Amino acid sequence: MQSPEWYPALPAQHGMLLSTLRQPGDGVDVLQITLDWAEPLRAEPFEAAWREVVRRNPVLRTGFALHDEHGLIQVVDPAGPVDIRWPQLPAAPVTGADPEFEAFLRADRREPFDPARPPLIRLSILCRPVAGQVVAHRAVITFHHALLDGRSMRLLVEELSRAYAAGLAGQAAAPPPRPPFSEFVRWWQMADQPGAEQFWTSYLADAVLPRALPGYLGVRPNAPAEPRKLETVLSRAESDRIAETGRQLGLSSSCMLTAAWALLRARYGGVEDIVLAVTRSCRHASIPDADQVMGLMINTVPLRVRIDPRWSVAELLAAVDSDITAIREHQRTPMASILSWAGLAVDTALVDNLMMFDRCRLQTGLDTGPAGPVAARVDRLPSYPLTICGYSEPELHLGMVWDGERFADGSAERMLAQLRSTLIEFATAPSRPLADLALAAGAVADAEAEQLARWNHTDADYPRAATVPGLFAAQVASRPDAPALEAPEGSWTYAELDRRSTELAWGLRDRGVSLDTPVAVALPRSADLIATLLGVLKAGGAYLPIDPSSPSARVATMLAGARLVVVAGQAPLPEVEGVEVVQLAELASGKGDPLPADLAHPESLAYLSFTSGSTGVPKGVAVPHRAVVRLVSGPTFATLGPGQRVLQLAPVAFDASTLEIWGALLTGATLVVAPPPPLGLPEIASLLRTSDVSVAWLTAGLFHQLVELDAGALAGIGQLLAGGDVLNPDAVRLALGVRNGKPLVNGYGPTENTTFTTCHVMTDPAQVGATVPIGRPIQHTAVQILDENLRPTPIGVVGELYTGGDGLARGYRGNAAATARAFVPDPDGHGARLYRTGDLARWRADGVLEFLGRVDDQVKVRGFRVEPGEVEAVLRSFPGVREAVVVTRGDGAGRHLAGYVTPADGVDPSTLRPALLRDFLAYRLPEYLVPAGFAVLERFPLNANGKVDRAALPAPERESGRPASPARSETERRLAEVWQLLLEVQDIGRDDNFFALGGNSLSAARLMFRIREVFGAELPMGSFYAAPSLSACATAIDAAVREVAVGGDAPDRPAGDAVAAVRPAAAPGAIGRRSRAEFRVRDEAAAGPVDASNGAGTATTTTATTATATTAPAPPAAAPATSGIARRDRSAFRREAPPSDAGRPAGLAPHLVPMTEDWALWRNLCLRAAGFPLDLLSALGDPALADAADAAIAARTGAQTDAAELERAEAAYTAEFSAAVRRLGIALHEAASLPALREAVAWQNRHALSTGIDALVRRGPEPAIRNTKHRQHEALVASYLQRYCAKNDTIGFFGPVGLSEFDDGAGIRIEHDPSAGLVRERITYLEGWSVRAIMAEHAEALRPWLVPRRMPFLAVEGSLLRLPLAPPVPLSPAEAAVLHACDGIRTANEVADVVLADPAAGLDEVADVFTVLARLAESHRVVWQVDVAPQDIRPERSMRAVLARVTDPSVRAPAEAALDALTASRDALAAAAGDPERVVTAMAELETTFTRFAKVAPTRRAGALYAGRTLVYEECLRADTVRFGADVLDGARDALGLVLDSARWFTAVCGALYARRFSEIFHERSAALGTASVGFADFWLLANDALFEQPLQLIEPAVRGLQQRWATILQLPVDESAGQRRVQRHSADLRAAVAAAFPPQPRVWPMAVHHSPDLMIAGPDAAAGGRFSWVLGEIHPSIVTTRYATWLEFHSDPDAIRAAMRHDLGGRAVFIAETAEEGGVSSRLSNILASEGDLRLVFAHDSCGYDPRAILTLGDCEVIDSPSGLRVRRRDGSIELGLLEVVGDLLTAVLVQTFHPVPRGAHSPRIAIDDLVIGRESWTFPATEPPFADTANEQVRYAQARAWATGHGLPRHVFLRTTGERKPVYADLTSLASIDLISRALRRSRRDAGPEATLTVVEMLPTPDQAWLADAQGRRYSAELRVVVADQKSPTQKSPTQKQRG
Amino acid sequence: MADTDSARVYAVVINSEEQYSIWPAHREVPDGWTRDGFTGSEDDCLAHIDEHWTDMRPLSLRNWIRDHERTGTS
Repeated sequence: MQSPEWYPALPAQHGMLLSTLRQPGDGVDVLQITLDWAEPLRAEPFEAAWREVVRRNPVLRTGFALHDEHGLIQVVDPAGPVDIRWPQLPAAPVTGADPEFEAFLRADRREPFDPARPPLIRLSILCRPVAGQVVAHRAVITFHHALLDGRSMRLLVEELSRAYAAGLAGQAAAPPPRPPFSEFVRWWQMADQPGAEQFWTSYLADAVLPRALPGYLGVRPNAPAEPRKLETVLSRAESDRIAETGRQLGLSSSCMLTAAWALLRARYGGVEDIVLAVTRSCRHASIPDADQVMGLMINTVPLRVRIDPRWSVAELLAAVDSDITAIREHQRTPMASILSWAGLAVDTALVDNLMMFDRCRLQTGLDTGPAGPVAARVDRLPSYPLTICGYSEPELHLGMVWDGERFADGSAERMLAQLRSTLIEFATAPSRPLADLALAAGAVADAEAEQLARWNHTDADYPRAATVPGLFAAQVASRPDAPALEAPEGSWTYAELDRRSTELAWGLRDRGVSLDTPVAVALPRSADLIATLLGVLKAGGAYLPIDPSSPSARVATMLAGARLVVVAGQAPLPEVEGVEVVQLAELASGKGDPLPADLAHPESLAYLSFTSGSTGVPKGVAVPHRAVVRLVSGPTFATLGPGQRVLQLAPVAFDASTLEIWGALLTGATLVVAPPPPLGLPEIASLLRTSDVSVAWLTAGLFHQLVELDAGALAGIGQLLAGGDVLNPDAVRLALGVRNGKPLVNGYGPTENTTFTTCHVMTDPAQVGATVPIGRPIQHTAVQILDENLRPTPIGVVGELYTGGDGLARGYRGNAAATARAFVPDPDGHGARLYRTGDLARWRADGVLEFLGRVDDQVKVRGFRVEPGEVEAVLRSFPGVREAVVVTRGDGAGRHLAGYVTPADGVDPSTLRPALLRDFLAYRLPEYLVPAGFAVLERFPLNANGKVDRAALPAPERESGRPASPARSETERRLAEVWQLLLEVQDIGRDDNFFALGGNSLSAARLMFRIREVFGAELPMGSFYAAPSLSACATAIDAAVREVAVGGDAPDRPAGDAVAAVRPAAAPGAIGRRSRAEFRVRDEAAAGPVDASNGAGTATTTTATTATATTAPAPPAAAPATSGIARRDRSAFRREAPPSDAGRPAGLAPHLVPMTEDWALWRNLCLRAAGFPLDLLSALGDPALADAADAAIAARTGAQTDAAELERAEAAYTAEFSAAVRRLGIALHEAASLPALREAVAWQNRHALSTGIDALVRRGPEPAIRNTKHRQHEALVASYLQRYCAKNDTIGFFGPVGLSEFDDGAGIRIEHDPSAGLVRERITYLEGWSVRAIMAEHAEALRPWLVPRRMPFLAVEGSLLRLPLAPPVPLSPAEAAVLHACDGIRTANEVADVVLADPAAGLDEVADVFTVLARLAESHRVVWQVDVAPQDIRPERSMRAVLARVTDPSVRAPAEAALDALTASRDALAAAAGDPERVVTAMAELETTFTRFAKVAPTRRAGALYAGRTLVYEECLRADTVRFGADVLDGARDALGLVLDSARWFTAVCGALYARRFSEIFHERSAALGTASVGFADFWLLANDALFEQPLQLIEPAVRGLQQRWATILQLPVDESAGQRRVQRHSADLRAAVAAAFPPQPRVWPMAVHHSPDLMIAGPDAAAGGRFSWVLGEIHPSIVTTRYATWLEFHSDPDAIRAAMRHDLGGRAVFIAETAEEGGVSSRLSNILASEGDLRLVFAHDSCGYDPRAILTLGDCEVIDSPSGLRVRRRDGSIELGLLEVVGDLLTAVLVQTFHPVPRGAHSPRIAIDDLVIGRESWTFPATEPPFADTANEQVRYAQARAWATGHGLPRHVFLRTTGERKPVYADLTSLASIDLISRALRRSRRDAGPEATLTVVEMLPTPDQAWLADAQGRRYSAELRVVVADQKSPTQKSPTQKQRG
Repeated sequence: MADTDSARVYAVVINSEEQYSIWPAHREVPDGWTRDGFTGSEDDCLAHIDEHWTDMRPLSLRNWIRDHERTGTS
């Protein structure tokens, strides 16, 4: 056989294959050529022609592989595999779009090519019906771009057409003279490219990152690419004009196009220096006849164009021409190399567009002869976000290709129109200066102007002539009694607010206030403040809000010019001449007469708002009434008006308050006034939750924090607005996610245009791209994006945002110059002004604006607009300072100012102490303008232009001049850690001030949140502000904690108390409302399942509390340290004497009990049971409500119902519904109050306590208001409850497990241990990753004592390194010696000893060995890291063993300290188990400890098997003992035996399918290599799909065969029309059919001797020996599912279980070695049933901890063929085993979920054989079907759900599963709570899974009243038995390849 | 950009509300605005405006106030 030819791949091929790998399944760089023929294609000659062409052209048979020496190589497959398909499509439409065809193209493009497996080209011949006949006129050639370039596509089509024509004529076509591609590659390799690195490195030096392309949304996760393309053809005249201009200038059309695009791209990016990617053809001057070569002969390189704005078009063109010439010499350099030399990533945003140019398109000028296609089309998806294609003949043709998922609609269309227009403009006016170009000229400009006008058409009728008091008066007149405002101190109606404000207005008039008079208001947020503002406006004056805490110098500046300042009480305000200070009380004039209507004018001032100014003086923005009226009239961004409740949270000095206050009071809404500041984050979150506001505006900073810490608080607000700074798209997506379709608005606008200029309304997280746009102009507002010459920029081009309209301020008070500078003439005329915002922005093609930063260095810090110049000006005035510079540092919430000063001549720099500078500024500037740090420099670093080089300024040190006095108490120490995390400051002392260390109001809010989490104490923000030192804060925390402990009832305390403390979890105030006796009874009952001592403790405390009857946890001293969990008495579990052998089949081993002739059961079995009794769940069911609803439905639909009857039924339902809501509330409240529930949730997700459960508890059993939030809390509790009661979801991962036995007695026996409650033993395990994470810090230092292992895919032979699928690599003597020495046992030190002893290695020093090792580790030859064996369920122990080896105490000690801290924290948590409050605290402490050492957050690991676990998990053992007499099986034995017969058959058939596939893979590879053996690693990679990726496809015939056979045996389907819901069969009747359908099979691998059914027992009397039936859950074929580590951990005699395993297997077995990698096995599920002598198959790099002699590592083995099938042999000859034996355990992982004898249909009946139910009744619906999911009204929804359920005849108790949800929901279809959970699941599924989503309903069996497992109190639990069945019949293993299959 | 700005010549312009602003001197003034005659650098123009624009209330408001003597300014 001819051996395959190979040669290196070219750089462009590299790049294309890489991008395909980066976006697998997207079809990146897949090309499709669609060809149409006039005549129908004739199959035979056409296929023959294709085969001939493929035969002739090696490139069409090429695949790619990795070669160790040559890197990526291309390998020509001599066999010439051909992929020809004949897809059938429906008839094509006569005209217009052809969606069927487009769908085909899409699917075809996404069908991935495996680069390693040629052909990477396929031919699809489309067959479609035409006039009754199926014919083929169209073919699609699909290939990976790495094979062919554009020119080659033409050659291919031409050659194919000729060959086809020849075939039709019965001749052979003469092959065209075509040099092979390999010659070109050879030439490429030979041709020298000197100086490339130097050229390209300097070429890209200092390249500027442009702003993203307009409308670019960024890469969106999980959005597969949707290629779009658009083309435009220029007219003949236009094309000629361009060609002519080019001729005159000596330039090509491609150069002109490149220049036009470069200019546009630069303008889109706001830069004058731009980089494009250009495709260069490399055929020219290469090899002879290069134009005839088929292959990829292009390369892509960057083209950098630097544009001087003073140039003319001709100068630009000339520059681009020379730019192109300059790169020609280096155009063959790989793009990847160029980028890496320049230090750029492969997907750098610097190069986001690709430009390609060709003479003509494929369809033009094809030379195909008589049988050629009549039309051609090409579809492609390049890896660049945007690709520009140009063709010059016959007319100039422009195209764009982009991914529709990555660009906003219309963006590319707009760019294409502008490109066309610019190109024509270039040709028409080559001498025009670039600055004068329109870029979008002519028709494009007209269309854009029209578009802009439309987007700015924001006029609508509104009361333009009105004033604020005028509109308010109208509201008073129409709704005097409506609530106007609600404040903590009380509520006022409109009439009341009107009276109060009028009285104040008269008082102000009396003091001389009139039109335009500024009245300063220095009042805290309150109802009085609102009345005062309104009073000022009524009097005609303008309010000027003053924050009394501002520095007095600044306040004095603001007050200048005011008439008076209104205060309440003692305000520390500076005295300003001419400004009278008036107490609010003094303004009470007592006058109530209406004021004259014309005291104010629409143009007179409403208020003054101060912003930072660059001159050092704040600027007072003067806002007229009209601007306010405009903001609230007919808003486009929100719905205001009666019924809305608008939150007033913004400081009045912030113009967000304009919207809040007047948006409510001028529209008839209610203003909900938040308590006065400061407010902590928890306070704000709770306000949002409980105050029922429907409109809220949050600053970006606050919004981000709430999303991060408590997103649920944002869920219920009807309309949420955020802004004031750039919003984080991730936060926005998260918020939208929880808001379920409710809008979130990004509001943008400078104060000078009154609160909002533009708004972006979002409802769907999927809409949010890489940035959050600022949206469209709001009502009565115009926005223009202008260039430096005040001309509109084209759509998409960056410019400065100017705004005009009725929202404009009058200007800056008393500052005409600043006003004239900022408010400029509107170029459109009419004498109007525009405000120049200083913000950069651009229009998106869909009319949405994108914000792109600031023009100058003005910045926002925490939402405040800051002019660093203002701070610099003040800093410069400090005595002794010569120069000052202020810059911003950090990002997001951490952004802060840093100040730099240089000393004046002769000044000692040390006198400029940061503390002095800070105090100086703090006296003059508001807090947000005071830099967080200062640095004194001798002189400032300067850049080349002589300006201060801001980037070169060093980070200032935060001031901590003095040594910190260390924390004293434990609280101080822990608090310091919290501060440290928040402030990123080290060494915090007890006297340190939070704010002096850089804290601010936002971080203080976070601090309050953290304190609540860490200490469980809640501090009011106010008290913290009063004493912000570490020691004071710690004292407050201690006091708060103490208060809780002595039973303080915090929620009832008045707000503002110095230290109010409540841990919501600990002091559920609402419970206090219950009678004490009732509470005690309930609590004792609830305590049962967890721990009786805890319940008693709580009850005692309750009795001891005062009359407020609040509960609190027991004081620590009273809590038993071990919570009553005694070590269990293992003897209770020890097996009793072996049962008598009477009745046992001869020879049955003692560990087995007989079942049928063929099958025996393991005596041991495992009981998985729920942790909570079912009666908790039953309490949520409501049959009375269901009856009432059913009656109402019957009345509605009944033909005979009369009106009165209907009314009665409806009324009865309504009444019952109210009662049911109450009942449900009480039941859920009761459940939520259970300590056991709190604890269970704390283990799983403690955050759910604060976000739901506590809230429900607090609100009490019968809350006054049941709003959306409350319902969400109820849903949360209901959701947990159903999981805990109906599923064995907790306690512990498997539920509290019981280890049980079958014996030879009768019935079921439950023995309770009265002392232990439900749980006898708990184990709290650390996750391995947590130990690894805290060791990461020490990894480097520990290395000498770590064991380096060779990667499992590698093998070392002599001095060769064997790699999979690649030739071996020679090793240096040193590398070879090191690799040989790495035997998986030796530590690195020991490896060094061995290597140094070997003179051949040539190494002299230990350090040299380590260097070699490090290099090998870096190149993934060895693993040399801190390992925690994935199967190690006590990872800390093995880590300790590692540390014990460390001989250097300075390395060992810190690592051990970290491990000690973590395990101590874990132990504390373990000790807290059973006490919910301690668990919550201990869990938080564990996380804190972890973070302290690992320096990372304990992020949850979202694995498929981990349910919300974090660092630890807990397993529990039941306290009761359950035993089963083997006779309980009687009714199920034979039936189960039949099912197991089919499982045996199924496993064998699957094994045969695998064997066949493996054999194909082996023989293919062995033929390709020409060797008899194949490396196991090679084989493994080639079999990867079958093993991991697509195993289900492979075994699909087995699944189908199983189901078809069972359908025949059971005579299914039954007649559904007859409504048959039960199918009962008898084993005796089926036996013969089963034997025929599933004949006994040989064992495919040793472990297939076992199967594990999950069984349930249904029957309430089961425990008492009464009647019951069995229910089969699943059968897990070929596995022992009780082998998991955590179960055996509880077992008293795991060795006996191992012995059982050994006995059944009859020899050595191979198990997979665990890996923590995805698809691997978690430690809890790891198999510890393996015995001495068993082997482990190692294929993952992190598998470790096994004896190297007992492992099979891929690299060390090879696969060989033998008469008995494929075998795996260790290269050293020590082990040889059958292949299936080796991989059987792995294959089991697939089979375990696939055995379903009866598939589920739309409705499947319950199927039973004898007493065994093998299929529960089930239904499948489209998720869109149930009509109730979207119904908001609960009463209506419930009735709809009842109608739906009864209509389908659904049983009361069911499990439901919707597409996309991992866990089923248990539902009681009479329960309101269940209907709510179902509705939520359906809505999620419809949203996430789309129209394909389904809902599966399965009857719950056993139903709650059939549960047999009861505790000592008689409460029932759901339970499931896991048994192990051993095959007693199947013959010993035979290779399935040998066996005949029937 | 600052360099080019300082080199630019501006004109002081005024609209019908007697509001002042500046405009590139070489370009045609938009409709509704007239030059008040002063040209110079940006700083010079702004200094000129600071001196002359002493009552920043729009003309229509000033007229309205005049027509309503009883409202009068303080």
